[in-house]
Amino acid sequence: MKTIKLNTVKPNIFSESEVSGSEIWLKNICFEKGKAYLIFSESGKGKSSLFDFIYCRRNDYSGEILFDEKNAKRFKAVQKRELRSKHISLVFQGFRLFSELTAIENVEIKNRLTNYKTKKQIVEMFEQMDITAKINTPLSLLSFGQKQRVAIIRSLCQPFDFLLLDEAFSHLDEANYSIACNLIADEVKNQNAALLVASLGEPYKFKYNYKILL
Amino acid sequence: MLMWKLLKKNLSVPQLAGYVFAGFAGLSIILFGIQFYADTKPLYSSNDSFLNPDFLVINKKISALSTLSLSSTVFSEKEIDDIQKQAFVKKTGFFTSSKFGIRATVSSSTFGRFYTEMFFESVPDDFIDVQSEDWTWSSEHNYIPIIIPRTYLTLYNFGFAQSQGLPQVSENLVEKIKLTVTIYGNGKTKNFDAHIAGFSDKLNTILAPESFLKWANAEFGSENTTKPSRILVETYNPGDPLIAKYFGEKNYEIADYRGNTGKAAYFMRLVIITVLIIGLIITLLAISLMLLSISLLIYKNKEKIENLILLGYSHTVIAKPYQILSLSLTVFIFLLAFAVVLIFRNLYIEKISILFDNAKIASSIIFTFTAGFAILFIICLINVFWIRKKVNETAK
Repeated sequence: MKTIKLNTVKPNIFSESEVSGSEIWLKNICFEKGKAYLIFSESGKGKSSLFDFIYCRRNDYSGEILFDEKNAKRFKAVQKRELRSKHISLVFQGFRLFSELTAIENVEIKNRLTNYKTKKQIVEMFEQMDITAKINTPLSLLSFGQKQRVAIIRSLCQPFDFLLLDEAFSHLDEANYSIACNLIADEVKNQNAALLVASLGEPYKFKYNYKILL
Repeated sequence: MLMWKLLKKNLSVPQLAGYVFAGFAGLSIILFGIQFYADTKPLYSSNDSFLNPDFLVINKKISALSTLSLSSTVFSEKEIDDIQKQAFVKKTGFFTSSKFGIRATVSSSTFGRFYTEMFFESVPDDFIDVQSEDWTWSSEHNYIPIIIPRTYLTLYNFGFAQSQGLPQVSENLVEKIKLTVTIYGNGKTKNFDAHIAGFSDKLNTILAPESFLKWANAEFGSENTTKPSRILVETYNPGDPLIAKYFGEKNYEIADYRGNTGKAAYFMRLVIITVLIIGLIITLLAISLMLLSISLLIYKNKEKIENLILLGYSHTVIAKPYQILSLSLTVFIFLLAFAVVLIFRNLYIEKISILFDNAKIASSIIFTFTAGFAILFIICLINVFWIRKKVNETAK
């Protein structure tokens, strides 16, 4: 997948006047593979909604989203599955991890589907993120920051053309998010993917081609 | 397995145990009802194995007058014509009687040796429904198949055998006994081998093939002809109410027509149908419990299922652990129910098998198994589709 185009997209919950200053809502914009985008705004402007729309989780918007000219709203379950396991990876703001499983099982449940990383590579990522000690700990016993790092590792265990980070470093200090950013930047570079970072304004450690106000 | 570790959360063991218990109760009742019906069917079935159920045997009622020869029990040509004109009659047939002497001898280690004077009658072959190789005779063969009334065997088993301390015998066994039939008349005597080819409830006579009787009557018999006292009638529908009405008005009797056997069979069927309905209701309740329990489980795991879908898992893969769970429980219930039915069957089967053909009873287990597997298949199908539907509804 090369491009994601947004043609006059607007969440149904917002009125036209509410999105008047946005550079995305009700505009035509194209995200291209290989570029990095910072999407910033204050809270409540629809950053998570935007990612939900692109990830085909929600349909409550007007306008259209096109994946290489294919309309996202017409995607069937099987196409969504393909999209989520091969083309787009998303770090959810709320993590969406499984509290019944251990940290590494949470990563493995994704990797089993994609067979993208080896067990060794996964353990290495845990080491780089400095959470090796928690690798076999049930997720429910991890802190927010630790959970966030598990979610980031999981998002890298699949092939993708677009990596979407939804405030993915909100519980991490600068030292920790620097490490995470390096890990992510390497993977994005390897896969020649696009990076879409949603944040309140903080650019973290990435180099962007575009900074867009939502 | 990670999926199972994830999805078994919120599993209610008491609910599933409830399904196993109720399902087991319901299915045992259904399968036992079917099995018992199949096993006891010969007890109250009035169908002759060889006589088409569309055929009726008609005779006049015998009264004190007929014994004194003041009223005839034979049918006149006018009466026969009238019967043939009835709308429900397809065709009629007549009995041929033997007009020579017959003596049958049985020699066996179990029963010793005894003989009896007897008679033969025959009906046209197209009224008889035994396999053709069993019911043929030609002058080269020194061998006669015969059909006797089932009441003879009942009389022996429950009257004679019990009082004399002789063993009870099944129909199957009787059919294997070899008889010697001696025919005499016109100054000639000839011996034949004979065996019992079937039993009849409708025909209270001893039947031999028509071709044999024609030949023997010509060879050994005297010339005088008699008018028929019994008529075979083939009907379009033996349940036609006109039949009973017409013969009732004429004061004719229909052999074994809705007699006591019919009433017993009716009540037996009523009881078994009631039992089956109760079993069915319990089973349906059990299935509802299972479906409800699974729905609840899926509902409680809604968030997890949605997250799996968002990771890229298919609905099919997510539904599978639940489907495997419900299918294994259902198969387990069936095996349990089958086992219980077989155990209970063993308790009564010995008594029944004395009276009936063992071969027939053995084949009826297969019938219950087939019915059981059909029910199993339907329940599994319902479970699989229901779970799939619920998973689909949970995460679109």
